[in-house]
Amino acid sequence: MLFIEFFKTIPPHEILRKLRCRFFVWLNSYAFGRFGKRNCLFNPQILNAKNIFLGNDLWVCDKVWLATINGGCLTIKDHVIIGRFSQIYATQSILIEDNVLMAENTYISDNSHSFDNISLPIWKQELIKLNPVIIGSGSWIGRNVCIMGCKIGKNCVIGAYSFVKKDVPDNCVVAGNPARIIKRYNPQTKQWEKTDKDGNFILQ
Amino acid sequence: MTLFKLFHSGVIHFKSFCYRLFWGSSFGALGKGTVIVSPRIFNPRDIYIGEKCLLSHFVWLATLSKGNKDNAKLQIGNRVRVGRFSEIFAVQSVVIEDGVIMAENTYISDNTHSYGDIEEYICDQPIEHIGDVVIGNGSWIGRNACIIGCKIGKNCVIGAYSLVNKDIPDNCVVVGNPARIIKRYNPQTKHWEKTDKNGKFLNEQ
Repeated sequence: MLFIEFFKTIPPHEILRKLRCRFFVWLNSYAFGRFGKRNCLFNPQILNAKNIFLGNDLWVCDKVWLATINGGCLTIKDHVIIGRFSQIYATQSILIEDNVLMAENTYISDNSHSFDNISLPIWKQELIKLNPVIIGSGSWIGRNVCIMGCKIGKNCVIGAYSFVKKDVPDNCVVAGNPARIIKRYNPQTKQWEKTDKDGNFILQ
Repeated sequence: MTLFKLFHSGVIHFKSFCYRLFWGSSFGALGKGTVIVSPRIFNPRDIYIGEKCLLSHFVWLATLSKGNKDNAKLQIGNRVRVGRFSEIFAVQSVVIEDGVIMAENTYISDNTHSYGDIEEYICDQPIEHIGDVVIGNGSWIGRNACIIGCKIGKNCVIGAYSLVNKDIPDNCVVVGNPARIIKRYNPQTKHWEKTDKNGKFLNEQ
């Protein structure tokens, strides 16, 4: 009976999934620039693995796309969780620090297509380099978020469905398209308080 | 029905049949005629699924019970269709009533992460319950919509890419982030009419 109870909490297909993940790691971990211990990658799609540096204890869910091109460098540190269907695409450098929590379907990149020449199709034109991306430790990135060429501080919250293109300081809540600061941690009152879009506290 | 269509729907039904054969008994309830194709499930004993549902590829159903509290409950009624890549995540209670249709990549949950303590990483802080979710009979939820901790009435339409975090009465059309009412059924004229954001009909003003 105990055996059945165990399988009711963790169904066998989850165990099979974990096994498939171990199999992937066993076959492919040598190809990465660095591959730490106890990492779980479920069915990812990877381009140029030699420029991808992974830390320890990662949890990368189904169908995540990690890519580097043109000698770009993608570094992910320890204890990072990446949700399903996310994409991280580096042409220069992307750094994701410890304990970042990323939800499903997020997109992080440091490049964009140029469209100056109107006689050429856009996919034949060169990629533009934006600024390198750094995501500070302990941040939480919501669902369907797009982060392009900017730095995000520590312990930030990026609201769902937002598009971030400017640098975000530490301890902020940002939301919207384009993203603006809506809340900030006040070190004097030690509480999260609402702000206007420049980041000044609204006095109540 | 062409041969291709027959074969293709056959694959889905075969996958579903295999899944139900092996793991169907671990669910709290799994009604007759429900098709469930390669899902991801946490704690299936708290998940109750009705009859004649269609759960498409890579749907993620999860419940999380904390400590001594009552079990979390995720209930899906009869004839519900859930699109690909959707997620339903229950900490206390999520109820989806009969005949709801959900498009792709929708997200329904009754919880968020708390971020009160700045000393601690957000992924280490506890999950916070917001409010129980009920989705009324015959509603339609658009693509990429996100419903967090609120009740939705009967026969509502939730537009694509909208984020709903407040309760919505019966027979409304809502869109936007955060979602607001743009249309409502007028029982006097028996038509759907445009409203302002408080839900008053524009024609009356």
